[in-house]
Amino acid sequence: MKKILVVDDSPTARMHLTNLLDSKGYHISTASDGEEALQKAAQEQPDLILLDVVMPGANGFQVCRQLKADAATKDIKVILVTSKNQKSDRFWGLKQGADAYITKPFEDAELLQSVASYL
Amino acid sequence: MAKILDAKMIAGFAQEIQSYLPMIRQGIASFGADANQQEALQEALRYVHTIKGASAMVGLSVLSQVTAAIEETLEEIVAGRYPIDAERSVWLGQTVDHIENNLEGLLSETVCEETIVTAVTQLLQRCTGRAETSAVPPEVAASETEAELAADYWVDTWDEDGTEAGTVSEAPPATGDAEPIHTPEPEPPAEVATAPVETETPAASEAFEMEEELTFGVLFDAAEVEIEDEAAPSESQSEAPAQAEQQTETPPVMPGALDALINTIDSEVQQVYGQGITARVQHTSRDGVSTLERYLLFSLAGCRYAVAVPNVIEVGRVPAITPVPNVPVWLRGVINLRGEILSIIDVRVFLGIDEGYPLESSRMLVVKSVQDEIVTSLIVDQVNGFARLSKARLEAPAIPVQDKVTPYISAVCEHEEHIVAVLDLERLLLSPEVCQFDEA
Repeated sequence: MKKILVVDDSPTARMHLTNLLDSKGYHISTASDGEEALQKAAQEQPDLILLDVVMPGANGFQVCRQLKADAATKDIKVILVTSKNQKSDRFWGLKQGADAYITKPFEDAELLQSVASYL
Repeated sequence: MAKILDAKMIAGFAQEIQSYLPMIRQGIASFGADANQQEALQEALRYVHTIKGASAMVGLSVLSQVTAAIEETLEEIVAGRYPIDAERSVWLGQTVDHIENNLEGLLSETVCEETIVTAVTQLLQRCTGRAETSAVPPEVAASETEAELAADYWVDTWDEDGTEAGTVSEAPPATGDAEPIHTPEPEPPAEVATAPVETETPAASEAFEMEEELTFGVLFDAAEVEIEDEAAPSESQSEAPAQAEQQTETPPVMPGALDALINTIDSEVQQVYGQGITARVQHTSRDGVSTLERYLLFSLAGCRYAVAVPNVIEVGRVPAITPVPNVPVWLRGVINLRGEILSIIDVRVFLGIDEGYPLESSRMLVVKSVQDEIVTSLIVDQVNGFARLSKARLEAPAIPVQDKVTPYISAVCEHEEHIVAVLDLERLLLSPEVCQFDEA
């Protein structure tokens, strides 16, 4: 069973993503900020991380860079999920090493498809 | 995009938003009372952004729209484009009140969209000093001008003699009338590089700011075509018409221009980062022959410099700077970039050139050393786009570009009739002066 780590500072967003993905049979764990995300990523070794960008403390760009720089976590797929939807945001987001960039709002089907393609 | 929200989720979300509202109000009030309270406002902005994102995710489009408008207003205030005084902070507070008072309706999507959007946007327009117009949701207005300016920008850019074509109010041509680049001969895009900044009129400047972000991709594309023609003359004959073909497919039609731009950026990112994740220096050009490295070009006091793209994390407008006491004059202070605190270095001053900032065209580069030890930000006079510079043509400086600058220049190269000095970023970032004050 594939493991997904959902990182977002909003409890509502975390709940929404958890419900959505859980119903498809993935095992979900969550983190509410960058520090927790890095910790859980190293510990639990998920197959995929859905990463918000604007968070208290370390932002998603920083976390992504760190994940990809660390040998323990660099092979975990990262999808940035954010409402920052400028073209430049996407460009720089991908430059941080993310595997994909999804903007909010998204169609649930679109997210599921993207998740499936990276697992 | 109707999504089913159960009662539990709505209750949870209501609670979450209620927990953010005092923080948002506090941030606005603090900043209204004391303009040094940057961080408080930044935090308010973050909470607003979070509400926007979460509501978008669960399909509450009215709430998402309204919070997007607040976010945009706060961003402009944070960037210093609009002041915030006691009166304006009251208006902003009223906007937040409006959301709280209508929260139930917003969460159940029963509130009348038009009345709340109108009320909020009018309040915000007062904040930013804009004339009170009819209730046009900010996102719609913004996207129209964005597309319009994209079209105008393309018209200006591809004018064959490189001069500024027409005015900003020129109507975008229809698909068929587009002027493509049909000659493979390199045209001097020096004017192209600076044209978008110069054609900025006061009226259009706000909306243009959004478009500005796109210019890098466009300039990159332009530079790409030129350099590859010069570097590989034998191959370019077959390549150039293909590339010219590509260019003809991107005529200034709105919103097609934006789509083409996205495709260009996407395919480029795919190329460079598709295979691997770590952004180390990529030497391969399109046909796989390793001759060219990619650089970001910028200007300081009229001279052109280049820094290797793998060292550059981000480019953007210079955010509000918090000065720090007892540091060298070239260290202007620190910035808060989405929660990350970075030093911001005035490169002109650091290199011993006279002070230039702030200029309308001043920009910030967020850079890192190759091994990721140092991350910091730089102020430059102007960003001139991307280019591939052939390694073979990078020479050690024979002509000193500027005396105090020479130690930090690793090579000099000619690019489109300019001398470009390649900045040795490693040396700069790892120099004792910078290391001492690095915040990373």
